[in-house]
Amino acid sequence: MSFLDNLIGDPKYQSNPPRQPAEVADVDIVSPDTRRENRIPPGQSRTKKWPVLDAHGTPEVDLATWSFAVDGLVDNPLQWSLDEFMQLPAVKVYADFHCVTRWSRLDNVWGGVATKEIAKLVGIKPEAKFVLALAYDYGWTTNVPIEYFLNEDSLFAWSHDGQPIPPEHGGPVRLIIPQLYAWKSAKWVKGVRFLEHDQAGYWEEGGYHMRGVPWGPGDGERFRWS
Amino acid sequence: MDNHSQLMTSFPLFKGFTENGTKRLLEAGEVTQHAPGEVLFKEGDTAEFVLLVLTGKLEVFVQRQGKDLVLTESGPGAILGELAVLCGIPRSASVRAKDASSTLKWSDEAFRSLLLRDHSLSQRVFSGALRTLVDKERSLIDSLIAAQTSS
Repeated sequence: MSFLDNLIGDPKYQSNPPRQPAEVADVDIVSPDTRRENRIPPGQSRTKKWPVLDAHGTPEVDLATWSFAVDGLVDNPLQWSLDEFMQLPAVKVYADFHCVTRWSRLDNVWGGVATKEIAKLVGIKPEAKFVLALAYDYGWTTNVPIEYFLNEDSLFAWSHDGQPIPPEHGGPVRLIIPQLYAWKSAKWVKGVRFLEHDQAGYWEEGGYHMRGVPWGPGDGERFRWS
Repeated sequence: MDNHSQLMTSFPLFKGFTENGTKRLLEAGEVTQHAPGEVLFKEGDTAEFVLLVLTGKLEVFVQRQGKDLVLTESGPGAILGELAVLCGIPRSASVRAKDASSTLKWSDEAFRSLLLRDHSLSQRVFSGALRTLVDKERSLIDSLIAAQTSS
């Protein structure tokens, strides 16, 4: 594929080698995994594209009635409209993105609200140990240990490389947890629930890992059968 | 359905699945009961579905020179007919119920859709299918060597 084809056919195509964190201006948080000497986890390969994967296809999300709700083990359950949500304090995070299907897209800048900010607003009860992210696509969910959810580089993102996140990539808002495999970064997120006990999400019910760290042991925490 | 979803979590192919996970696999197909002797598909048929054995026992066989040659018996947890579906070729053997049995039948389209969406399941199904082929090749080589040695 020529440079021109890439430019016309795929605006998200990465023609250049990934930047080093020090070369990236105008971000608030640098995901620690981008500082690794080798940024590609075991068993992964770099893609310059941004592939689209999902369980059911892209859902119709009505922006006028979109809402984001936090419930479960919190002091103040809260709900926001899209306008209200995008008024929350925004951060920019520089991070890599690792899909369990063995591709990694390096060098992404995500914009949105930090998960820590949401946690501060709702007040998480001490017994909360896990988070279930809920999405707009037919009841899709994913479970995340609270410490990964609250990582400094985790956020609810509404922009990618300065542009709104396209619907097929999970817009208007998706969860981004750079330090776990990307299926934990729920597309079309509509809320989170704080739980005391871990509860398998959609892919986790099909044997995918309950945590999903890409860096090992072995070639990463992909499945509960391997 | 509850019984089947629970049963399926015990199959090695679905290790790590919860009952909600196997329920989704059941919803993508259709459970059918088979009386002993019932033929589920025949060698040469167009491959339009894949079977998962839930209970009982099925025989995989071919007919040559008027005789049945049973190639293998398949019990609960075995997948049958996936290679013909994936390769788009006619059935390479026939299958019949040896005992009273039940199967989960996925249409060609439903099976492909399951594999396309679920990276983990496709990895397991392909690895199982390829292992079966390698085992068959080994046993064929063994038979050839035995035939050469005896002749």
